[in-house]
Amino acid sequence: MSAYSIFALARNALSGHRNWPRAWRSPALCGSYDIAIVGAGGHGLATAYYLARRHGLRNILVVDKGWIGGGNTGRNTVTIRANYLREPSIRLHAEGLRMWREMSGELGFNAMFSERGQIDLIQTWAKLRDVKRRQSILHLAGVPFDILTPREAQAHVPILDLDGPKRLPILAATWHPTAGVARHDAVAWGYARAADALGIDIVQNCEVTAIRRQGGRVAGIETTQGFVAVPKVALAVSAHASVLAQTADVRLPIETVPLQAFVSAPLKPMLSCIVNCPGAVYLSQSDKGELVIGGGSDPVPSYVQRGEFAVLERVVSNLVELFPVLSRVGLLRQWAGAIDLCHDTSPIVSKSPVEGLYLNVGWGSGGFKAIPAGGAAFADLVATDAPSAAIEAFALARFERGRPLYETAGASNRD
Amino acid sequence: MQLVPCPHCGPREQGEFVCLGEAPAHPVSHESLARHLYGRVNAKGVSVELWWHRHGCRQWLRLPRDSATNRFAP
Ligand SMILES: Cc1cc2nc3c(=O)[nH]c(=O)nc-3n(C[C@H](O)[C@H](O)[C@H](O)COP(=O)(O)OP(=O)(O)OC[C@H]3O[C@@H](n4cnc5c(N)ncnc54)[C@H](O)[C@@H]3O)c2cc1C
Repeated sequence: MSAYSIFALARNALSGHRNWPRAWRSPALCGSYDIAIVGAGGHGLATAYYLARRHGLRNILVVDKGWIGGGNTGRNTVTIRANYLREPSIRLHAEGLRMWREMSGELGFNAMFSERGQIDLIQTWAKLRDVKRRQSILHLAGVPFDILTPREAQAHVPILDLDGPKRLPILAATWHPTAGVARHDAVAWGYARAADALGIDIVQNCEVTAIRRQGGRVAGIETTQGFVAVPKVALAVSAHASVLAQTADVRLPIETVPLQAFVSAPLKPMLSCIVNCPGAVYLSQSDKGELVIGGGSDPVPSYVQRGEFAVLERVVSNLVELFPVLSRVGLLRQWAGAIDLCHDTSPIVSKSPVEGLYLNVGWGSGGFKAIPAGGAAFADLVATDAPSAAIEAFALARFERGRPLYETAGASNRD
Repeated sequence: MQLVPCPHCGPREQGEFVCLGEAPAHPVSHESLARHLYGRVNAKGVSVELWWHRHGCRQWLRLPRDSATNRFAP
């Protein structure tokens, strides 16, 4: 893999940028592999990379029905943070923040991680109680997270209006200085390029139609390009987790629902951090100047990647109430991803009841931030067959044991 | 007072227990209980859903809908 550098840029500029090498190969599908990862989103690609890098495994397939990063990884609003409620999530995401800071250097690809901090505006007493509890838990884990007055929050977010009438009063705010954003596509491309350079086959436009079982264990996968014999199958397919797992008779506590986002016309720099209003809306400003805006998930389950208008309307009315200065800003694009919402809104990073079938799904509205740490922990599980301490709590069996991990800090936990 | 043979604690006094009456014919396993409580088919296609007409007739409806198109099936 030739390194991207200022010298490579200068050299290629001289030849009119016609001679850049391809970032990854387009290999043909082989008939057998040691491990097949289904889904070339951030999680599937990071898992492949860490299997090669940390465990020296090479005979690995990453297969996607569409293209690299074309699922939720390419549709998300890129908030990266560790201010969760549950200890296992906090630990995983705090480790993730460390990995995000080093990712561009390690992959030789600019993921454009920008640590800019996050403000949450608290508008109900219930949420204030929740964040006070979270503050204690986060401080025990060493994650910076402080409670501010509305005026202190306004110092971080000058466009916030505190004087006009509000449907709900702004009671307080929280400040999580280590939160950040990154470039979504670059994360997928960076892991794809690094995994490909380590010899992993990434096959796009090939749908897995079923997992074939032989008794209690995995025998291979049926694809639109034929059968692949493989003893270990790792699912990182987000929305389609239930559909694929059921071909191996594994039923998951997941529902697929749309989650939408919007982007405004580009504006001069006006917002230096991420702002989240738990009941209503969240936003940040991209390097291009667009405001990247999201809200809660749609109320009706669906695989259709198209959000409903009532949700957009609610998000925008809340946006304008809190930031009246934005009332005349045009929205350029609106879209939705189909997210894999787990019953307790925590992910499933786990073995399954079928030997050789591994699950990295249920990330719902919050799995972009987990791409490095989740991918690395999942790679450890697939390679060694033993869950590391980091992911024990995310086992599928937690539901049988009566230990669901209810979360309150996700974009889908509105109100 | 009789002794109840507890498989976990050995024979113990009845006062430590509450009798819940006749046991269901098929004892429920943790697996099947978890499947019943949390498991979802989450079909990509038609499935029958419960809808509550909250701001209308307030009836509960069973409606088939296709989650791949959002259309209610005829
Ligand atoms: C609007 C929106 C905003 C979001 N905002 C944030 C945020 O701010 N912060 C955050 O942390 N997270 C956020 N998320 C969540 C985040 O995007 C996801 O959790 C994360 O990207 C999941 O990554 P993944 O690799 O597991 O899945 P994906 O990126 O969805 O990749 C799954 C891949 O599997 C492929 N696939 C599916 N079925 C098959 C099959 N049968 N055969 C072959 N391939 C198949 C798909 O084509 C897809 O490429 C948001 C999501 C959305 C939709």
